[in-house]
Amino acid sequence: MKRNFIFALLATVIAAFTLTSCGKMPQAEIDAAKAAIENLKAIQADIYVAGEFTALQDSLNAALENVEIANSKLLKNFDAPKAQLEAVIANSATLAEKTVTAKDQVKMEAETALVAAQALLDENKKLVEKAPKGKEGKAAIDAIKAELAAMETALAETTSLLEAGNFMGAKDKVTAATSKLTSVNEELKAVTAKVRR
Amino acid sequence: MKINKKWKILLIPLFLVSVVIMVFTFLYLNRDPLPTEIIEESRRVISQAVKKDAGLYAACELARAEAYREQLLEEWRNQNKKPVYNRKYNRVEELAGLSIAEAKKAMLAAEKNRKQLEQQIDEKMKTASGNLHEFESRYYQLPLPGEIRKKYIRAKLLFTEGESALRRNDKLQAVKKINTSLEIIAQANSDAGKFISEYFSMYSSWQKWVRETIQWSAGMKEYAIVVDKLAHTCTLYKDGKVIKVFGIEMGPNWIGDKVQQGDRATPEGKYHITKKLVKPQTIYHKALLINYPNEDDKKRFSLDKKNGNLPSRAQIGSLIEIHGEGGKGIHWTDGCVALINKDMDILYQFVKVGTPVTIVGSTKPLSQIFE
Repeated sequence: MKRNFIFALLATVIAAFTLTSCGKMPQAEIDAAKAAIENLKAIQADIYVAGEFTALQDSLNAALENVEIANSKLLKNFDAPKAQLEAVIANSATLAEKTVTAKDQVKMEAETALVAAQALLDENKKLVEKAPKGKEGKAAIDAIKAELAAMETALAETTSLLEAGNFMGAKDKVTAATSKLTSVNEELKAVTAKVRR
Repeated sequence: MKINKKWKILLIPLFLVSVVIMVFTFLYLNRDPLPTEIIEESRRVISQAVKKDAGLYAACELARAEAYREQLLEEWRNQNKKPVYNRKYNRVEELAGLSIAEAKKAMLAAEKNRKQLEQQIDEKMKTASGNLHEFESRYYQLPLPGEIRKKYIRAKLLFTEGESALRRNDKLQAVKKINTSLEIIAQANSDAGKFISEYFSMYSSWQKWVRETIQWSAGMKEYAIVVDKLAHTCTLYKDGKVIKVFGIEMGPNWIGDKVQQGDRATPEGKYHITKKLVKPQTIYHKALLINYPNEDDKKRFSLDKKNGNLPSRAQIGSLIEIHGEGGKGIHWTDGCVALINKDMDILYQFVKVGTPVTIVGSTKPLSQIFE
């Protein structure tokens, strides 16, 4: 009789366990998805691919919400939120690549513009130095020299911004400097031509 | 009927399982309902707020909404740890409601702040553009000290950077750049204004010299020349009346009186023609040599040297002329006044040795200059 009772109790416990504990919380996927989003933030995906980053973050929030919904149920089934989390992890990897590409593109544009601006600055400096000496060569060159000094500072600041990883700021700065350097270049060439006339 | 012993063994657990299922079913049906809709709504509204740039324009409101959302999730997780019949979701619901309210506030604030910022940027850009234009129209052509010009360039570059930031919709960066540009261009305009005001401290003397020259011309019924450096003009008078006005070019440092040799400044004072020169006596088509330095210039130069304002080796300079070969469009001489050859021919034929040449910074007061 005692043996029968133990058997019955065991069967009941197994049945109860089967009914209440169907799935296990996908903790590893939750942690991985959260880490993937943090990684995206660290590589500035929120700046370079802002729209896609916001959408992915929203997907993570929805997945976490679905994890808790599944966790609230009597029959726990985490398959759907787990699949959502896995999708977030996979999409994070794709977005990380996109971010790197977008950043590299801006960085390359800023670096290329910086090289061109530096060349223009050097050319302008040479034009200033080449200006004929003596009475006619001493034109408004001093003013242009002051302007070139300010632009040289701007280019040095661009280099610092590039080193600090602020590629957007660097691009803005070098674009502004290039525009002014170009007008000074034209001005210098015109001045030199007039003086030589 | 006698139940078999084996059946007994199967029926007991079956009965117990049925009881358990019934109990669970009862508890499950009578549990506190999970407020799924409001929880989802909370996430959706926060997401909308993020998409409307609440993180940029209503950061505090959004942070509060997100904090409520975090508390909601924490409370939810805690409740889920409890047995199903013991779970209470009223706090979760309350927190969801609070997060929705804050997220909606964040959206409204973001919209309002974004519009305000756009308006602010628009106004600031107009002001900065106006200030830059003011500098360009008033001072750009003047031989200003290098530091003032550097400030102008820096302000100009920052303004352009602000425009670039605005093009890529980075309004906060744009306003930052434009604000800095505004500060610097205000300084540049102020410094340039002070520089010009100091220069105009000589205005009463200039006025007196010009008046005396014109009176002399009227009284003597003779020709006289007045050079206005700021207006870049050389005016020929006869009988105290204007006969002709010529455009001129000077030395690159034409603002300020000539102090010493090589400073590329055009002197200011009352002079007269001492020699008339034509090619090959001059390389500048035709030239009218004036008596620079006059007695006043010599006295000032000696005083400057004595006071240590000038190095002991400094020379006063000489050979200041009104000559031809002008028309280059820039100030290029070493302090002389250059006219185009055609104008020089006209001037040359009317004047003679002894004709007064009065050179002043301006014939108009500063208040009229920038009108």
